[in-house]
Amino acid sequence: MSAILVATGAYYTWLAMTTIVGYRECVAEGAAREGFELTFPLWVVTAIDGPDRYRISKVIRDVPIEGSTAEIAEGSTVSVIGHFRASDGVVVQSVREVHVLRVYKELLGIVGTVLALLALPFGFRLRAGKVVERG
Amino acid sequence: MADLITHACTALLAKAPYRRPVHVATFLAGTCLPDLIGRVPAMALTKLRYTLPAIPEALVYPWNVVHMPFGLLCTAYLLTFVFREGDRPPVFRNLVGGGLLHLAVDLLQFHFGVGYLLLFPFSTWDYEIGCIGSEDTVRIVPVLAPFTALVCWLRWRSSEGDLVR
Repeated sequence: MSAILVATGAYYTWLAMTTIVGYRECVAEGAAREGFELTFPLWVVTAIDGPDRYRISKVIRDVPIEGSTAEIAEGSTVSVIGHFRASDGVVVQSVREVHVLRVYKELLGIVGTVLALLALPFGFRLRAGKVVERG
Repeated sequence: MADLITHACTALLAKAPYRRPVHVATFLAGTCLPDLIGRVPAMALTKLRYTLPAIPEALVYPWNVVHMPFGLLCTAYLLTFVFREGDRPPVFRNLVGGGLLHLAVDLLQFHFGVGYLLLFPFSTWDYEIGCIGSEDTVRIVPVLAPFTALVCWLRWRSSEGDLVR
């Protein structure tokens, strides 16, 4: 079963890295990808370069976006849909959502993770090397 | 994904109607499983790569399959082996049940781009109901958490009464 799980993970990784056309592929193929629509869900703003230019990062660092920088700052989480412009490798933003509450959601995630780990000994115990649920 | 507090609350509320709820901790663990194994490592590695770009990108992706039904089934099955043999069937059912409840809650959310790959690795068809925003659970928690605490307290009080009788 562990081999099946590892194989599934490897297949997913292969799909994610080879079959999805992203910013990297657009840059590599240049003019052939002019106007190609790209989606960046939940990326982090890593630089503001001017009133209409910023950069976002996730698995790729510093993807340049052309679009209003109103309501965003370095560290903001945004989802962006835009079109690739081959001449300068910039993504021209057409839709953007600023995830204002993302920081609170991440905080709740951290609190939840810590609470889950702290609660483990109250829910389970070890007996003869095996886990047993209490109660 | 919704936040873990919301997922934990839904797990406790799902178990509350049972007269004598059993395997609550396992069900709760199952509810946290898709995020703890399927999301947290991927998010941590993504952030680590900002400072340590030598970390291969390929390490970021495979965790995500635990946040899908098939990967969840495999992970739950593997986890049962840390439990005693006689306990494994109910542990498996509760881990999977909790995990599926987690996925059901997540399906309510709307995301940019691809939704949830519910049939992966057999299909890359994606789906989400998309009736709430991806951060809307943050607004729900201040109501949901105290409500869950109240329900659990009432449930605990009534079960104490059962024991006395």
